[in-house]
Amino acid sequence: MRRTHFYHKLVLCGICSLLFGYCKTPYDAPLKATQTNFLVVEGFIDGAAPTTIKLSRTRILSAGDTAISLKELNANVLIEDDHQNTYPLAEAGNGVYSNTNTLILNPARQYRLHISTSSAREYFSDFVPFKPSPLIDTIGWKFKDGGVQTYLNTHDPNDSTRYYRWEYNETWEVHSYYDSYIKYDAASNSVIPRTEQAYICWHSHNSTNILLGSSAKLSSDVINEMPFVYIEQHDERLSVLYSIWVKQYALDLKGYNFWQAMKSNTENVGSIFDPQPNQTPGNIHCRTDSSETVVGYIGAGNTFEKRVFINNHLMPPTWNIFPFCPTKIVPDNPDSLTFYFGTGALAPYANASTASGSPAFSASGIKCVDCTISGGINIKPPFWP
Amino acid sequence: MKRGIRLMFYLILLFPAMVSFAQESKDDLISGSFNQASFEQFAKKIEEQTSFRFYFDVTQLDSINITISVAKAHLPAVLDQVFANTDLHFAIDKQNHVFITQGFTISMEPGSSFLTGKKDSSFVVSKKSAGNRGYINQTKKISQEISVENKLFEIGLKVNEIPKGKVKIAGYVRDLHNGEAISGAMIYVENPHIQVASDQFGYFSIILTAGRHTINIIAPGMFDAKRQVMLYSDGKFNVDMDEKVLKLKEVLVEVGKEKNVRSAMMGTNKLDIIAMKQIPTAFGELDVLKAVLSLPGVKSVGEASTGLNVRGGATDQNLILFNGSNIFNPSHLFGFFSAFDPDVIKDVTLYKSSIPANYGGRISSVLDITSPDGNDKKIKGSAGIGPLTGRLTVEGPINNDKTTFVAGVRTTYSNWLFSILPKQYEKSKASFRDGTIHISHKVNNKNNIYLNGYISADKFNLNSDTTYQYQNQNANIQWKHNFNNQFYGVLTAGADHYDYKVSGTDNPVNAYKLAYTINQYKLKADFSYFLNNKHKITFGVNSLYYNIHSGSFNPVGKQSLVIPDTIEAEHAIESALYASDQYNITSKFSIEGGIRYSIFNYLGPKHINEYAPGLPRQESNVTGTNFYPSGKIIKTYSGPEYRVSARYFLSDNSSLKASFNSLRQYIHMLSNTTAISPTDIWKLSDPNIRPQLGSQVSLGLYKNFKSNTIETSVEVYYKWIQNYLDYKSGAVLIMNHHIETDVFTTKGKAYGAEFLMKKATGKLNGWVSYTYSRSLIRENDPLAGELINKGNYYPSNFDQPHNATMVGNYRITHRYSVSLNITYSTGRPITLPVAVYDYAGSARLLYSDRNAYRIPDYFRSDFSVIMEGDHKLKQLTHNSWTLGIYNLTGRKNAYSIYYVSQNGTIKGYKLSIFGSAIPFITYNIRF
Repeated sequence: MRRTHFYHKLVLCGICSLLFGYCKTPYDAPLKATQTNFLVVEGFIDGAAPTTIKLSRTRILSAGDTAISLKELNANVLIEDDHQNTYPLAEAGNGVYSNTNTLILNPARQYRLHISTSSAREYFSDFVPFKPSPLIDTIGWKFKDGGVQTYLNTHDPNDSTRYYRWEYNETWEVHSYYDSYIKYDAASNSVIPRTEQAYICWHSHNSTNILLGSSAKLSSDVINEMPFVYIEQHDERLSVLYSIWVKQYALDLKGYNFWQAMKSNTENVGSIFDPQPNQTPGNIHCRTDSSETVVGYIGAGNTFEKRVFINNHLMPPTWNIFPFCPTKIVPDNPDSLTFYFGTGALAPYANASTASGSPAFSASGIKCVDCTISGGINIKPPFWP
Repeated sequence: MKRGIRLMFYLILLFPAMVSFAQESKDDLISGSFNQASFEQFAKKIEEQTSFRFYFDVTQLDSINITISVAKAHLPAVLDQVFANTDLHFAIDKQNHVFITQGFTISMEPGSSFLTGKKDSSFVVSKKSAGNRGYINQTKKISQEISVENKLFEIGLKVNEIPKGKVKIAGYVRDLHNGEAISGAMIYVENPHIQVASDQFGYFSIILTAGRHTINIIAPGMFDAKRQVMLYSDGKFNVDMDEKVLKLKEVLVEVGKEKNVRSAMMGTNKLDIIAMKQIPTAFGELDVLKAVLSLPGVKSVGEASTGLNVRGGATDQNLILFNGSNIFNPSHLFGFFSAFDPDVIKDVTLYKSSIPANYGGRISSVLDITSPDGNDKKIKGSAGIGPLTGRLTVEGPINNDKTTFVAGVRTTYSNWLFSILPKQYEKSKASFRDGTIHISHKVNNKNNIYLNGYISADKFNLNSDTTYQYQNQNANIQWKHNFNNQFYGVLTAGADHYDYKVSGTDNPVNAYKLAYTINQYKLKADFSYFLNNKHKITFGVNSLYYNIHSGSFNPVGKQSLVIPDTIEAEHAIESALYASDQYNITSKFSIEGGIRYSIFNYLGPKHINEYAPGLPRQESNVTGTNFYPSGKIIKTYSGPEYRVSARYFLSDNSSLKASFNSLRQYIHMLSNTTAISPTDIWKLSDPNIRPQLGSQVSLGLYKNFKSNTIETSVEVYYKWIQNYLDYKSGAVLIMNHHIETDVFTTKGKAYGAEFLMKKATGKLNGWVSYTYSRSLIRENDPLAGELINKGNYYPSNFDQPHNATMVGNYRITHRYSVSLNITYSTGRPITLPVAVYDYAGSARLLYSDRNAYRIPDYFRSDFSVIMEGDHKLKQLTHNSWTLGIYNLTGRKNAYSIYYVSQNGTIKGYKLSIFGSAIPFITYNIRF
């Protein structure tokens, strides 16, 4: 019910792509280049973790979004309550303003953000009530259509939260096909011992979609099996160990509507029944010029975080599909090393010898040998078991 | 006619016994007295007395009644008297054979042409001169017709002396083969020109001087007909017309197709099913609404929408009537098809400028779709198979020819589509069906009863457990009573129903069912009074009771925690009184003036929020809530609606027309999508939402060329719209208990010029149109709390300034015809982002002015070939194939342009409904 047109989009594209070729083609409209440069404020006044506020500016929409992301530097950012207490945030660079310690905030009070920019313009967010988030009950998962669907359950025994937003971070461990203890050194055109392991890597990914939930239509404040990440069958994220960390925010209705509008304007588009795009005003206003557009909504409350792990042992044995990693014996001579390893096509993983007995290396595709090539990090994160 | 002659020869050959060779004097004298005698009796009496022997075609003379008293009279003088004021002629040869002919005289001098019509002194012939009839090339004639066209119909109480004064005759124009009423037929006589048109029942009434007339009857798709009438006094006169089954090689040049010039109405387009069949459509599914879209001034936001935007009006501003029932959702399968089964449709009339006073309730247009009456001779049927649907239609008489029915069903088997889609769609299902029935019963000459029923249902779920369902259900009964020849009335009672349901059960805790229902009950009485040929008066009264269940949201299953929620139902009565007079001031100038007064009463039980005056309508400004008990009038809106149109003949084949109309609409469709979607809801005007008002002036010039075979017209219009609803940013329309806080009113204006050139007949037929039009709205509602585009006028969603359409059909032979359809229009306006920013881990978009951009222009061409089976009239089944290509050039027409955040970045896309040329094939069978 929430977004009916999503389903239309599915069927439409299905019919179209199957019967009539593509229905969706990349397109860049000839847009008028308007310099907007509006202030964008993102963050949450957090009573349970350090508060981080990001300040940036809107930029021109260009093909491929090549315009430089503009950060707002040298601003003064304060958290204020309705009893004239202020809590300054320190500039951490790159438009980020934060405090290192968790603020002790009073749930009975209302809070707002006060920003003074270097161009001497003053911005205030509306006072918002402090909304504590209930605990996340479980983050679970189940098999669905061959893949794994992760989900979240939460509830508020006081029935007072009602509107929720989540952010998540996924981390997963992957293993190379070969555990190599040697590597090619381009500078000397030779194979040298590895100093850093390239067999186990960790990938990490932050949520890019807006995740919202509401229990406003339910008799008790329960969020049941809110779907999170769906992992397709055979996905490498579950090839060894997978972890998802979720941060839960409690929202007030205005904040929920702001996020809902942002989601529908930027994520749920492309159907035949698209609603008119619109800009829901946030709760930040420029005191210097009240007509100035400011993007953002600042809420306040306690957040709650939870992390779970899912092990590959729980997957069916058919889950892992091993990559195509044939071994090639590369003779240890400079020409061969340059030809095979210098181009990056192959990487050595073990010492070997040619059929004639001369020294050589067992080599395979570089992705089969070095897990950092695909963007993994070979240092174990502190929370990893 | 040739056949008539042959008949006479047969008469001569087959009954030689009758031929006596009495060589008596020509001066045989006749005495006798005849009172209402038939010609046969008359002839017999004379043959007894004299040596004259008569030869005649009985059917030509069966309408002649002879009241005469003669003593020792000469036969030629008697016959001259008997045949006075008829086109019967006689010839007497030397053997005293008397030949009676109609329309011409014969000469039997050996060696001379039998058919010269020349007067020969050796024979005694009629004194009157006979007209020369152009029967030689009349290939269309069949025996029934010749006898009917030559037959003299005598109407009224017969007297021998032709009475003086005016005579009123009335009757029905029907299809000869199936008894179906023909509406819009022109009935006229020449010298002086007097013309009337048949109404939706095929009924007409005309006033003529007593005496003999030739009445011409013309109607689209029918052979032109003529009737010889002899009017004595008021009476009934029915006309059966013959359908043009197919054109033979000799192309008949048809005259009289001049309705566009002659009618006082303007901005009216009528499409019959034959014309619609020639227009190629996607999947080969004949689509009534898609055919209407090819008319000038009618637009839609895209291929996946059957919503019509008529002259800059919104999709909810069209009154869509199907056999008198109000259809709320005219679409199937997400809007790809219209919900009307083409096999049970006779024609479609779109009123976009002059809207007759008997219609009301919507401010933009009236689309009147009618079914044919069932065949009154025998049970017939037809069936069709297309890629997505199958249809079956049966029609015929019930028991006797007084009751006929036509019934059609259509269903889809589109689920195969999903089974061949990628795995993720395999659980999807989409189906629709519709059924139509139309029964007409003739109680007696004065009373007719019509019953109409319609049902359409859609159900789909798309790879999720969310199921969507919606349906229309409509029924009505009409009783037509003829008080006398000049006056009849139609009483209609009906009920219209629309509902939709959405249910989602995949998550047991959130399992829900959402439902919405609209019910409408109506009672109306419409009267037509033909005062005389100068005045045709219509008047009536109608009342509509609304009962809308604006939404209910309920749990499904024991585990569901969903709180049952129901929005208070809405009740209202909309009533109207109207009168209209079509006044032919001179033969050149006629005017049709009407007034409709509509009253809307919003009724309890209902809680109504009161808002602080002058402040934005927001929940925070609610000052109180009043409860009104059941039946209590909460709010009344009323006002007059004016409908005036005038026509002036500039010449025989050109005219100038002007019209002004104003309309009121008390129901609003709430939808913040551009296309009609299944979850759109209808909301009545209430104390916080005022009715929509529309008014329009238009001016048109019509001219026909080449004996009226080519019709051209130019119409310009300007339109004002008030209180059209638009939506605040982030508006919630579903399950909203105070919808007035999420909407605001707008003012709109629309103007344009429409050019049309049409050739309705001939081997090559079709039309070309060009429309320039604008549709602009502005929002400066002080109660909205926000301004859209700074309160300036901005283009509406369906503002497409340039539009050109060509619909063409060429008949290669009797059995093969090809159609080509070309459409171009400016892309519709769209709101595109003005800036990008980063938020919540992704690049996101900032929108500003609404509808500041346009999608790329639209261009499409379609082609189809219609192959008829053989044309033997007498065979068990007739079949036909239609094959063609939709979107011949394969152009990926944009349906929309959008930007989306995907995996953290912004991407722009163009969405096309049809990304390539689509071939189609359908098979139709009639039995």
